[in-house]
Amino acid sequence: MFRDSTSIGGVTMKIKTVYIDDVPSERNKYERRFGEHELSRDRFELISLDTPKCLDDYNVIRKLSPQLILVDYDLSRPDSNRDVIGISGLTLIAELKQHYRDIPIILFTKKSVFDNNNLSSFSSLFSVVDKVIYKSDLFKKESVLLDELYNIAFSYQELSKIKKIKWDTIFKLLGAHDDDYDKIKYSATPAMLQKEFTITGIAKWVTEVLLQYPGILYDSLYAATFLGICEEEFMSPQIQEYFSNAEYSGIFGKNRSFWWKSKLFDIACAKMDDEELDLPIREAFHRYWERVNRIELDKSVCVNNGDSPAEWVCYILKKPTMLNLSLPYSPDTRPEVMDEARVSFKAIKTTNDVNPEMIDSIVRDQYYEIRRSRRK
Amino acid sequence: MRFVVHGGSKLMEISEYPQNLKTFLDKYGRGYLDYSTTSSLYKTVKDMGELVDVSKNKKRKTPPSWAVKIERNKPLVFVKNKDNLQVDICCDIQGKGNVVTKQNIELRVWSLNQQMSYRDEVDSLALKDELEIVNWKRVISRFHFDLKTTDTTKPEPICHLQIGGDSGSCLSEGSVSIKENCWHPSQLSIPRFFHVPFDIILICEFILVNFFPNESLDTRKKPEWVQLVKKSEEFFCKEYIKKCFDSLNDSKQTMLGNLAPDPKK
Repeated sequence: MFRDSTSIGGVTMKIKTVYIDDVPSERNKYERRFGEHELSRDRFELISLDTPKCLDDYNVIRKLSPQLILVDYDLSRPDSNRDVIGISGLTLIAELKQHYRDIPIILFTKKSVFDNNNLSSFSSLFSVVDKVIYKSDLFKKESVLLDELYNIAFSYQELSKIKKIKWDTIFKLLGAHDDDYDKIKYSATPAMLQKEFTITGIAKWVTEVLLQYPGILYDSLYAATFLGICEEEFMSPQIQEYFSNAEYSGIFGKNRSFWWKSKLFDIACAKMDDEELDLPIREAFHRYWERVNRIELDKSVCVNNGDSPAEWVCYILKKPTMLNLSLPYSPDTRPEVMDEARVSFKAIKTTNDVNPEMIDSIVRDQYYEIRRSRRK
Repeated sequence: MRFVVHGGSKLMEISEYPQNLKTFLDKYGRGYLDYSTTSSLYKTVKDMGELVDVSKNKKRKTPPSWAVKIERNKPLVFVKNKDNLQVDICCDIQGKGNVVTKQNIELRVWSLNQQMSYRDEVDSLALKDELEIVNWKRVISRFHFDLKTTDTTKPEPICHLQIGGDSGSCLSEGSVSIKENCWHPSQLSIPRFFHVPFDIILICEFILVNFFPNESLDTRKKPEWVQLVKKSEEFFCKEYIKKCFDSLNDSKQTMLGNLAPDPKK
């Protein structure tokens, strides 16, 4: 869902975008596509360039003052002198990042470049890249990538306007509430805790931590499960209006919807009676709603046994699950302040996507028992 | 009287116990424990870990002696609950290898609630002044969960719960010394109820269920929590419960008779 709050005086801000590709037909193709597509023509001003080979080429880029740079990965096409520049897009991005620290630089490339789409083997190289976008996905129907791209560039612009970044300014940009300040700080990188703020560092933290892991902010699935209702119910106009003050409207959030967990809690509890307040939110909210509005809400349903309301979200199946029918899972390096990841018994039984090495050792035997039970 | 723990599947070895305690402190104590009071337990856990280390034990000829102690004057303190009750625990649990030789746990319930702490019709005005200074903090219940000592002359159950018992020393909160002022007479040491043995994890579960039932509901539903507690149940409770069960089949003696044999004279 794209919420256009990026316009000034009714005019959408256009992002000046440099696209670097050594293949002329690719440059022409994307200049045309960006200029014609309804989701890009008013938001991006695309200037395509060949791979820079000398100081003059870099000066061309500098004079354009881009707000976003897209770089193809494969730059191995020989030039007119039949010389091959000999660097990949990643190397070029690393070079560009030294000069353009405050704008996003995206690896924009074909899927076939990476074996079987397996990016993990390249992950150590991707630290210089702000995002990887596949060419084939950008203009697909139903794709949200153009919104994402715009959102990233716009958010970088917001960040770069700040002369001296402090925690107060970050909280303001996030639209955070006092109650969440400590939690937000606990999720920050060591560099940020030492007040070494860089725009790229903040951007990566917001997109790869704060918006990536549930705990401080929730997407619709986690928000719904937290309230004990199904996702469809949560997205209904009535519920959305009720929780409108909990919606996240900070940087990097404009193309996806998130809600502050603390605000969901406050709003849900605000008018509950004492009996409802003694219950967990997932039990209390639908009771309150039924009492006040005479409407029965559909509850979140456990993917294992159909019980409701479910209590957590299965990391693998992305479905609600009961706590006692799930095991703790460590698939990533999320900060402790975030919600723990859990995998449902159903995911263990019916998929091969659960890595037993990531299951908490105290219950790993239980994982194997569940796997064995499939065969019975 | 000693319990020897043997047999059973997935029985916890004592070498696992320090890690289980650490897991409890790191993962499940949040929101319940006052972490400014956990340092001595963390230290005990670390020291115990070194004592019962598996690789070290392979070289030993005798099982290692170990101890988990929380001193009375530095108890492990829980945060106050919604009823303004605050619990603290201290303990002296000792063993040799998989044999528990000493098990004493004290649990105190402090009230920070004026209406509960001060009884108009019974307590003195002097006490009122004293309590006012310490924000009405007063021990309203004290419990001892003890393993009977070998040299006792009392006919007490092997594992028992005693209400009241020896009064503790003052609680230190910074520079302030807070007297218990517990109204249970310290001279009264009976009755003693036979009770399942507790360790730190089991008594913490007990505290969560009683003092933080709603807040701890999600935690107690998790399989990993259940496993953690079950390991302590296996190690500390299994033999006792087996004794209780066996005594039901003993036609010559009652359960209490089996669990509280007359002391040797």
